[in-house]
Amino acid sequence: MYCKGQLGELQRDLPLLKRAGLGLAAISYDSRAALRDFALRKGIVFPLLSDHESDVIRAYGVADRRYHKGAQLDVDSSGEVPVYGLAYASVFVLNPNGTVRWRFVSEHEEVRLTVSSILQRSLGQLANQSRTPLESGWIQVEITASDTSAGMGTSLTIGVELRIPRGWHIYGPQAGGDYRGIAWRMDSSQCSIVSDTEYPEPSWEQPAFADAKLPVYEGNIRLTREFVIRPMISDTRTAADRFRKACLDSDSRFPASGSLAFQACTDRECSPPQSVPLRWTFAFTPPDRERVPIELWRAFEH
Amino acid sequence: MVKRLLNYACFAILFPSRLVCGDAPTWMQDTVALGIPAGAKAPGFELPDQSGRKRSMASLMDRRGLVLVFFRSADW
Repeated sequence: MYCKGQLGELQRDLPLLKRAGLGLAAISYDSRAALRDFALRKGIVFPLLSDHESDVIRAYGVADRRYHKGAQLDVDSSGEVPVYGLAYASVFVLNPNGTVRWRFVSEHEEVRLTVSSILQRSLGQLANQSRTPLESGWIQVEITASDTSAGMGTSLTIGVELRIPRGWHIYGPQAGGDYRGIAWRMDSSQCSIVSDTEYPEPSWEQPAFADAKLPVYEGNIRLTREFVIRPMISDTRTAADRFRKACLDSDSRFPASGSLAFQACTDRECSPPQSVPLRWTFAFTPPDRERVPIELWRAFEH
Repeated sequence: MVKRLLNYACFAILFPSRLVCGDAPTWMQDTVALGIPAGAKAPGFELPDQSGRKRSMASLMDRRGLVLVFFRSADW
């Protein structure tokens, strides 16, 4: 259910991969006929490869080890499906010489990476699709997101960027005592999960008024976090209603909010500590429950 | 006989997400115990695509490489 959404996202962002000079192919244990049906329905033009016997899935070490021969899984939307030879959701970025440059394998079948987050994590290439300046006074704060839409389980990167005017600095998160270090406050909730903040390395300097070295940032800095919309495991109407009520706003968008606290100082003086509210909203892509025609369903092993 | 796999041992009743019971930063992390490691030579392959055309790793490579995605199913 979640993977189908990922394939649509990959198709949509194919130009980003092309621009980065990377080819794309996706492999599953589905039959060629099932892949063909899906590709036609969803307009997928990049290669979907049918590894019906799961030989390649096993060679890459990503066959789901929970499922033995004859195993079946009860999928809410689809009933019992055969799952022997199923692949873990995973991404391998290969070098032109065929070695693995970067990889991401997840036991959580609902997690999926977008093209932007693959580019960001594998090549360190920023591919933010949204950037919003905030009302934050004379230290400019902008929020960024690797993607503008997301579905359940989509893992994306959100960021906060600050432009600190010349002659001013702010303190790193390591600052203690009377010095207010920068802090991006944002918690996981019943609707989403956020990772810890990645702060850049501060430089350690001693302003005239201080009696010890302090962690400071000057110029432009960028903080990032990974962000995932919590998937529902149960795919019932009640669960979907509950998700909508608890997690989506009145425009059916997915909001995420936090705050950024910091204090700006020069060598001689400090401005009062500031707290800037942060808010992202994402277009929400609902899970895809449509199946291939029944005659194309994967047969059970005997 | 229909076997039901107890796949989701950690079912949350209140909010139906497995994550509620072990809030997992593991979500954002690579499970290194699974799959071939970074730096390894990736196994070659030749598989049919949705239109029946055979595709090999070499034929899919672009100038900076190839993103190979394994997904669970395009059906369910």
